[in-house]
Amino acid sequence: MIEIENLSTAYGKKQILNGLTLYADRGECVGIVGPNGCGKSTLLSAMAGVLRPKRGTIHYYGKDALANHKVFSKMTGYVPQENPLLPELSVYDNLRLWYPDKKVLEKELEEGFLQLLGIPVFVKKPVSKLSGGMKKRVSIGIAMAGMPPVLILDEPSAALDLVCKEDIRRYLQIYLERKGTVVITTHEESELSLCDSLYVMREGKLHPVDKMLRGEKLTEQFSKTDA
Amino acid sequence: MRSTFILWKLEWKQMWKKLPGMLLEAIILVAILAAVAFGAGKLLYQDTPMIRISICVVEEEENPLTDLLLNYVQGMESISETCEFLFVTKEEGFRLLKEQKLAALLILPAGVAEGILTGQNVPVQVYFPEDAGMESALLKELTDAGVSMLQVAQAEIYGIYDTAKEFGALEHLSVLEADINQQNLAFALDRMALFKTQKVSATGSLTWTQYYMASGLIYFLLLLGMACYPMMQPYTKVMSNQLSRQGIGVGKQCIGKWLCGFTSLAIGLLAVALVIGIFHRNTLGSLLLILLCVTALVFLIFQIVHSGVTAVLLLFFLATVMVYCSGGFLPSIFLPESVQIIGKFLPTTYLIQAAASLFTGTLEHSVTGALLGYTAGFCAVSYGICLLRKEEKA
Repeated sequence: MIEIENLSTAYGKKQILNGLTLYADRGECVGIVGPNGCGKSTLLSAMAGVLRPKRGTIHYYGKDALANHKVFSKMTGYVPQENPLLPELSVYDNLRLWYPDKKVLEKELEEGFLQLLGIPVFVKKPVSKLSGGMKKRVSIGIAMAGMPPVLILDEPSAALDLVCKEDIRRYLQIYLERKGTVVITTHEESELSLCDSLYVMREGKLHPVDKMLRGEKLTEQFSKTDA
Repeated sequence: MRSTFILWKLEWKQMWKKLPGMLLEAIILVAILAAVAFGAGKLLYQDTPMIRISICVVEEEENPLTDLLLNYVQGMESISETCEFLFVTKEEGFRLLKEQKLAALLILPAGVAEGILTGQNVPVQVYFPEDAGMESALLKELTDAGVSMLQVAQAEIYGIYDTAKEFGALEHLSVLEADINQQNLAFALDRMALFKTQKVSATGSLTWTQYYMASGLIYFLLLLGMACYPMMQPYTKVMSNQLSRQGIGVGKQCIGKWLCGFTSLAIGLLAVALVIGIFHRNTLGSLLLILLCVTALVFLIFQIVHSGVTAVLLLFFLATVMVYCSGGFLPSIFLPESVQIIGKFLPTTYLIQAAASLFTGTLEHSVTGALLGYTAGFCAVSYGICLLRKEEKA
């Protein structure tokens, strides 16, 4: 359960989020689209606890995240556009940072979500030698540490090949089937097809649109005025 | 806290992986510094002087006695090593002087040698170029000093003659003149008297070798910091944000990086200290102090500039300029006054003094205080920059 109300933030004088509201149920996938620079990443940063908004409230499963910052790390997994990895170290070492309990990590690699992501195949490789798709899978694996009920993804398929995009779509499907909630910014057809609800971000607010809209009809929504 | 320790452990692991490359860079650096130091040493401290002073001599009259006299002067060791005498015509001599190709032009009039023997003292004309260089200026000073000494000696001789005449003691004149001559010659010939003055060295109580080892050590450590960039570089925006989400704040992130840089530099310093034999129980305090301050300074520079190449180049530039201003390449006394003043405020000045204490065995409290102050200051500013960047990042 995600309840975001009246969320506002600004960079200097530029208002990025302007009284934004968003609700999402358990097992729901929320897609957010919009032109570059409209504030999608800012919203996800605020939802992940990276950015502190100026106004508004964020509740995950009824817990006020802005009042207790630990709620963010416990309830959400965040996959930013760039991969948060230490390149000199192996995949295993990188995972160790986010899975402090070694036994839990081993179990996840054997039969958990990490196994599902196919990470055991390249777990001993240094991150610097991984492909873009492999790195993204590790990033998702990192976000999944502690099995948070909410997964926040910022354009996870950007600059990846078709096979990787399909793999990521499949992992998200499995996560949703397990009643996880996904908030995703994307322009990829395959990921949009997962969404139960779709929003266009415009003038710092989210506007619901038909989830079946694609291509030109969807981009037309980007420039619509609220009036 | 568990996650923080895991991060530090992983940073530590990452550091050891990078260390061989860093040590290789350090070896290359030491080889380059040693080659530069060797070359500079050969240039600065060679036995024969680098510059030979050209002096032209014009003889107004061909005279074997004058030639004999000049041959004698030229043959003197101290003169033959530094001066080169050229025999030219008057016109040629003045032309060369005008073109500033000479340090001095001597015009020897007829009877100059005989004048010395008879006591007539025929004056020699000495010309210097208008915009005299250092050699000419030095030669002029020496000539003026020589002329003054001769004038004093001459005044003594005339004084004695007049006194003897006044008191009707001319029959004792030769004895008196001989006494005066003996006194003057003893003064003029006792060259050691010139060296009995107090010896003042630009390097203080250190020998030249120790002085350059001390400043070289600091320069080496600062340059070694360039190789530490991979260990001390700030985290990427996303990595830093994710770590903060995990409860590993900016301060903890900085400490991990700082410790890795400190360890890397410590390994480099230890290796050098063992090789040049300055590592023992008494020097541990100074070594630690140097290490803390250099690490803090290098860390600060890497926090100010994020880009790898720019950060490394900035460190190289700052290290070179600061060591120069602190008298690391040339003792401060030889530097312009403005540079000396700037040098007094630089951490490298105190670092070099701390390095000097590795040889003298005494580290002044003021140096310890200054270095601790700089270290604390650099750490505080670095932390402030990290916090500001975090705000920007978010």
